[in-house]
Amino acid sequence: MKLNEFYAAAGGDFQDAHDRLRSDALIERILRMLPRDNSCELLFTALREGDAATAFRAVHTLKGTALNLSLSSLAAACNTLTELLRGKDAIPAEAEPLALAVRREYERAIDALKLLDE
Amino acid sequence: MERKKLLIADDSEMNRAILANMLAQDFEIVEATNGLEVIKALQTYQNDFSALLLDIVMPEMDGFQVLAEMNRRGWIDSVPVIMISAETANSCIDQAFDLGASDFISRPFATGVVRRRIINTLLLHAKKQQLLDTVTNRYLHEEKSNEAVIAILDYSLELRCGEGGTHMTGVGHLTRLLLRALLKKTGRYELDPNDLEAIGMAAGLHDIGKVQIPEAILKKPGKLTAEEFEIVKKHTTLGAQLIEQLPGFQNEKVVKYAIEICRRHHERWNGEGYPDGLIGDECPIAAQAAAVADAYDALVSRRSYKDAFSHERALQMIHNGECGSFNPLLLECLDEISETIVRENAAKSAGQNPNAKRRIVEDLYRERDLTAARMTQQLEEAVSRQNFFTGMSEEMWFEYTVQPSSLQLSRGITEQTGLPEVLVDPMQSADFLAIIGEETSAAIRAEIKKLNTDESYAEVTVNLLLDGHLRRCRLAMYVAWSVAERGRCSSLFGKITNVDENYKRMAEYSALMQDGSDDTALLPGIGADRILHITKEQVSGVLQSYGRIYDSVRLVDPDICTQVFTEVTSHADFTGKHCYAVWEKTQRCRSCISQAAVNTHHPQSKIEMVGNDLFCVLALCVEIEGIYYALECVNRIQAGDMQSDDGGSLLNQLLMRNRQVYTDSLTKAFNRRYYDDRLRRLTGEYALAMIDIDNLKQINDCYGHQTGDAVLYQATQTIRANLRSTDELIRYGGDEFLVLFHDLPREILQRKLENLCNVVHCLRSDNYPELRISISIGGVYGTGTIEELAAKADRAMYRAKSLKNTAAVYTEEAHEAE
Repeated sequence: MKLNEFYAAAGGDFQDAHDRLRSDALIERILRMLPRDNSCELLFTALREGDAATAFRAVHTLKGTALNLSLSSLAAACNTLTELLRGKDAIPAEAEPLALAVRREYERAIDALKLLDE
Repeated sequence: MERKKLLIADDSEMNRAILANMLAQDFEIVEATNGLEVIKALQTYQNDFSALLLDIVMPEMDGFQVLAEMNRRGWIDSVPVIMISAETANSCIDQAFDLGASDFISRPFATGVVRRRIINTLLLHAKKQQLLDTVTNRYLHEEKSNEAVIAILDYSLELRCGEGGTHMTGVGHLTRLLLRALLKKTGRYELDPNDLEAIGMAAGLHDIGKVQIPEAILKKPGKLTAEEFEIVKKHTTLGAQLIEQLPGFQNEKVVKYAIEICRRHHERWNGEGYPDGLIGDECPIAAQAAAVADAYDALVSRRSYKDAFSHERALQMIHNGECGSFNPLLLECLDEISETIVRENAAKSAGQNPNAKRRIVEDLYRERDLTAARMTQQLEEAVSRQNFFTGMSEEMWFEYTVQPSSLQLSRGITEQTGLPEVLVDPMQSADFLAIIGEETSAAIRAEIKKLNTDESYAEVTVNLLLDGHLRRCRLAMYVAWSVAERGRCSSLFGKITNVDENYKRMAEYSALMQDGSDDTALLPGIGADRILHITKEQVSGVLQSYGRIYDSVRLVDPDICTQVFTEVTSHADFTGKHCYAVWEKTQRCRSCISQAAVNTHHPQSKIEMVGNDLFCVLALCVEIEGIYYALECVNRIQAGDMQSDDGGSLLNQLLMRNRQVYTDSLTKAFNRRYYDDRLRRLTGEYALAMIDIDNLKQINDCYGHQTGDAVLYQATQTIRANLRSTDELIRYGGDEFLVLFHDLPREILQRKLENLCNVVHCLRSDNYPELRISISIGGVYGTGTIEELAAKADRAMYRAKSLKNTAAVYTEEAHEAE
């Protein structure tokens, strides 16, 4: 499967990533690091433990990564949660559905990665 | 573009990977995953980083905290910081710039943009450094003559007051510091940078009126009578009058402030001061600040009637009102600059740091206060010079400025040489060259060349023509380095000591040694003061009697680093050899115990090493007819002397340590250092083998480095086990080993090497039974240096390598053909 098909499946913008990073090999190498990134896991652990600061940091990091890779849907989901959590001491009730949306987008990208090997 | 280190700080591995990939072609990348790591990396490499790419949201310590810490440690100007963040809020960006970031790049970013912006930042940074250098250079040049005038004035006034310190410059500098702190605190007083500059200079003149007070009163050690005190008080009004009468310049700010400060620096906040008893702000603020500075500086200086107080004690006394009452705001300022004062004092007593000047310029540049920078710089230099001169005892001193080339001589020198006080371009002056001679100037130049730019002290013994006679003199020099050009000397201050008499006395003792009798009876013992008091006739007897106890005994004059030995022979030319030469040194020992023994009058000891021999040195203080010397007694330390309490020998422990230095930590074979230090240059007839482990790279790649290391270890142990104990196994490179066979018959070499191949090939890995290990060996038997033989063995090894698991021995025929 080609990178552009991955981007279509993962809800991203291949052309943007290609224009900015200029190397498909680089994009693919970085994408394959995505399952190793523990930000999403860290986000959910922090939410469970009521640790708003760590949750903010985790989703913020994931947003940065998603932006860098032009994973637009994931970045957008992260952005909403990031802004909700910004400066909060406790975790607001609205966080949960937003976090689920982040995980949905993250898993969508991870699933699409599997296609990349086919 | 020069390849330099770039620090990338981001908690996401993926983000670091993207940046590293973009920039690896231009920079050597160092990565950090949180703020603490950034600080650690900066601490470790400091000036090596050309830039820092900094994420904001990170664990442990975020990007803003990193910036704050860099500000606190003063790193922010030496490493440009480029923020990279998904944050787009203006407040974030503003905060980053406020904290000193050079640029801000938002995610997502494009490769080209990031590269270009980093490069721009670096160029800008370099340009700024260049500008700072130019400015520094420029004003140093301009202020040179001004500075000399102030130094002369300062010196002569203090000589008259018997204070001999740096009171004028001290008060001027402190007054400026106080006022700068005050201006930050309140808008009540209207002073601009030009005022500050003028006040600083004027405050230095606060005591100028003392030139009209009788010297006997100024230097009186005890308490003054009421009448005498009334006379001293007049220095305030007399000083003001003196300056008011100065023809011209009356419109200059500095003159106006000087009159004000001279007259008012003894007024006090509560009206109890003199001459006019002004209350509060009736007294101008410049004079109020000078008064605080004057009180502080007087407390921390030594005077004829008192010792110096510590900084802390001085602050306490001022707060307690022991020097009269002061403006409370200024007292707050004094507390605020307390740290700065302590730091500057420490820097002064530690000798001037060549970077200090540049740092001052940078500080002031930051506050856009360049005019003020000139004064601070000037005062700093005057202070360091004064400290140096007053620290050395009077008489012959000189100062040489490189650009323009000029030499200034003290009265001591002009009287003894007939040279004028100032010589322009001295190296072109025939009179000067007649005194100093080519050889001496060459010796001085050579000595300075040896210094690093962080060293500023040099010492050299030369011949000078004094009063028409050639005299041996010691030159102690303080070297100031050019700020603009690294490694160039900009000026030289020095003191000359005539040590001709020292040499003459040593020559006399040496002569006495030669015809001295062997009579060691009736020699005095060491007195209760731990000093040996003897006459010059007893020198020979003392050296001989101590010579029976010690391996070697000598009398040392540490001032000239010259000695008289016990074993006097006709060729003992003591004048040509320095005392440190026996330790194979070319300059005074860092731990000169003879100097210490003479200075402290207490015995001193140390250990010296020459080659593989250790020596224990003891220095006793000896007084010969009023002059102090050191008696150095030396014993060689025998292996048996080093018995430690647990029965082992200290020497053996040292040897063990030595062995560790030469051991490869992984394979326990000798390391490359051992080969380089001990073997490479050996010459003789040897059998040698070069061994390479086959496919080690593939093993590392397929099974991981742990397995690779295990294979390496197993193979070396097996090889070692199959060598004789006299053979030496050296890890020559990554997977290359060298074996040096001592006394191995030529005909056995091939068989021996094949045997090694076989035993290694039989090895099996526990974890990976399918893994096969083999080695390729090249051998050589011949005569030459080990290095030459190793090269031949290497060629044979490459031949073997093409077949693998093979041993080949070098033959001229086979390899010449290649």
